[in-house]
Amino acid sequence: MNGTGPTIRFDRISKWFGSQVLAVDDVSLDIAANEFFALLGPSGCGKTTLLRILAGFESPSSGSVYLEGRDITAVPPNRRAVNMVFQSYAVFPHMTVGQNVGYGLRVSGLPRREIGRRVEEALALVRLPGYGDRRPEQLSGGQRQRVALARALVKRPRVLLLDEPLSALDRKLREDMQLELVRLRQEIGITFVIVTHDQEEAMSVAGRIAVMESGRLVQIGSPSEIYEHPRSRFVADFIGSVNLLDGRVTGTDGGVTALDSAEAGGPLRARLNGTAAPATGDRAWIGIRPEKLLVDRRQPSREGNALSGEVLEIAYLGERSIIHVRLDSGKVLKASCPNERRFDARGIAAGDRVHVSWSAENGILLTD
Amino acid sequence: MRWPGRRTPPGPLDYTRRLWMQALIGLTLLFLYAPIAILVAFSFNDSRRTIVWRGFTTDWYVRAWENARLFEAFTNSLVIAAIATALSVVIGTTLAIALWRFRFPGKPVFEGLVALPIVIPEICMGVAMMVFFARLDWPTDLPWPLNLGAITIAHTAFCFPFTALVVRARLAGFDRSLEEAAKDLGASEWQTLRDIILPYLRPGILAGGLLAFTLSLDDFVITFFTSGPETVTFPVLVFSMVRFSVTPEVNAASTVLIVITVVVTVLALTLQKPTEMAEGRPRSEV
Ligand SMILES: Nc1ncnc2c1ncn2[C@@H]1O[C@H](COP(=O)(O)OP(=O)(O)OP(=O)(O)O)[C@@H](O)[C@H]1O
Ligand SMILES: [Mg+2]
Repeated sequence: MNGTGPTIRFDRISKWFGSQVLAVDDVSLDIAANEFFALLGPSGCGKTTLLRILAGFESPSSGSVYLEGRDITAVPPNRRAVNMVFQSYAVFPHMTVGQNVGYGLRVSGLPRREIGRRVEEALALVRLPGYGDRRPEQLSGGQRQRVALARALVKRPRVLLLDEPLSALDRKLREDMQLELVRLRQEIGITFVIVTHDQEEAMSVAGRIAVMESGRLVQIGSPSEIYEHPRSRFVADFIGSVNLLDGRVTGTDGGVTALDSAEAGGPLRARLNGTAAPATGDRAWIGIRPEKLLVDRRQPSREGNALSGEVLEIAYLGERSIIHVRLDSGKVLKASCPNERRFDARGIAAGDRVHVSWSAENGILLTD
Repeated sequence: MRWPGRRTPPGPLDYTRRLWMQALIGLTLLFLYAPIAILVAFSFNDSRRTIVWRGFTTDWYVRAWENARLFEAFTNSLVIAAIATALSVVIGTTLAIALWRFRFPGKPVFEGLVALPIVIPEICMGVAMMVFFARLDWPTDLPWPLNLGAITIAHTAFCFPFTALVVRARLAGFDRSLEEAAKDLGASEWQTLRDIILPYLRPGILAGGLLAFTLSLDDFVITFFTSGPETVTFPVLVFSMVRFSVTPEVNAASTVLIVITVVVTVLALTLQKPTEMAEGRPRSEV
């Protein structure tokens, strides 16, 4: 085994369904050992297809898949050292929990004693000790999920694949299971690849995220990279929410690009972050995350961008409020303000004239 | 909730409270079961004639047992039904799985062809079978039970499409991810079939087998055309006997047949139960 190479390598994978649907479009991707990797994207972008190619249930139209340096493109799913947790759990209804978990060991011909021991071990790992004799229909959704996990993990795969494993669970249980997955991965130290369309889920469990859009990989990075430095409007908008201001580049000076924006009603400035400066005259957008906007009745004193407008409405969400501000140009910005105090000390109400400001560092310059 | 002085209107499932509904149910049951009840009752009647009740006896059962022709026809029927059922289950299940699993050129035509025996009038099947076996010069003087071969083949031919139909209906509800999960865990095609697909199909296979068994057991038309003087089955024999008069012996043998059918059905249903329960419970998720 090649200890330094990636555990999984997708090499220029494309997948056509018929001649019309291009589900995966020329994807190349390396996933390192012991990584918790998330494939994130809107519905129909090809996440499941990519995962199924890795599991062996679909064969790519072109390109190759490598597992620890070995080309596994033509290896059938039952001979791959990867195991999958299905979205529907796919717990075998006619077997007990123990038989379910032990099935993968049974078909590989392990002695009965060894199977029993490892099944107990796996059940303990997913916190279902002593559940071996239960039948699947006697379990809750979350417990069935754990059985599916134990069943995949008992095989000691190199890679565990999870296709939207938590989407059928309610919010509270989902959050518990997310923590559980992170704990499990740390405990057994293998590579996890999770597919999800829930950006919060991806950010809370994964160390690295690949964002997909209609079959293509559009950005790969850590959760904070993807959130703070999205490379396109699509990524910025898909991960979290963003205010976009449309404009034209007027020049770059000292790493700060200036933009003339009709929507803002004046010039805007954004600091470049290692990206190349756009050409003067090009169309560009400034993206600002709602929590990075400051809303105040007084004129901001600090340097940066400041626009004025009128408060449209304030949506109270508990830990924070979303203030909708209509700029003088008619463009509406959303600002997220934490509710640090029980009694409103902000002194802002709908209809008030306010100033919205943010620093050049907090504006994301987007050209795509 | 009840309002005093007002009759509560019946709920959607409460219509059995209505008198006309009860009468309708009663009449339906009467028409369904009265003839059978009379048949069973008169098999215990102490009289040659089937019209008046003269007292209880089990004589007719003894007589039926001792009637060599009746006994032979009865065993013939059971043996044919058993073999035809076994063959239908194997062929029908294989066929259903093959049609579900594989794509091949001409599949729709093939599907139509195998369903044909279900829609072809039995009389045509019967004549066709007769001509077919005559044409083959099928030997008619084989020792028992080989001489039942022609009838058994004919029965299998019209029974297995029903079995295939029932099994396919069950397969349509199969969750493909169960199959993928098994393969993912290392199971081969064969192991997946044995451990996952067949257990799932069990209720369908049992129901299909039961259908084949009863179809074969009471078939008259096709059997009539394929049986010889040595290979009479129960329905064919009864037909020839009642042309003169219905004897209590026939009643007795029929009662035994009813009991056998009921026992087989109950057996099949109990075998079916565990898996039915496993899937019968509505799942809150997924
Ligand atoms: N077996 C198939 N035959 C034809 N088209 C398919 C098949 N499987 C997937 N597709 C198409 O490929 C595209 C990608 O599907 P995929 O299931 O990978 O999406 P996804 O990103 O997992 O979406 P979701 O979040 O809704 O699960 C979709 O347009 C889908 O319609
Ligand atoms: Mg999917």
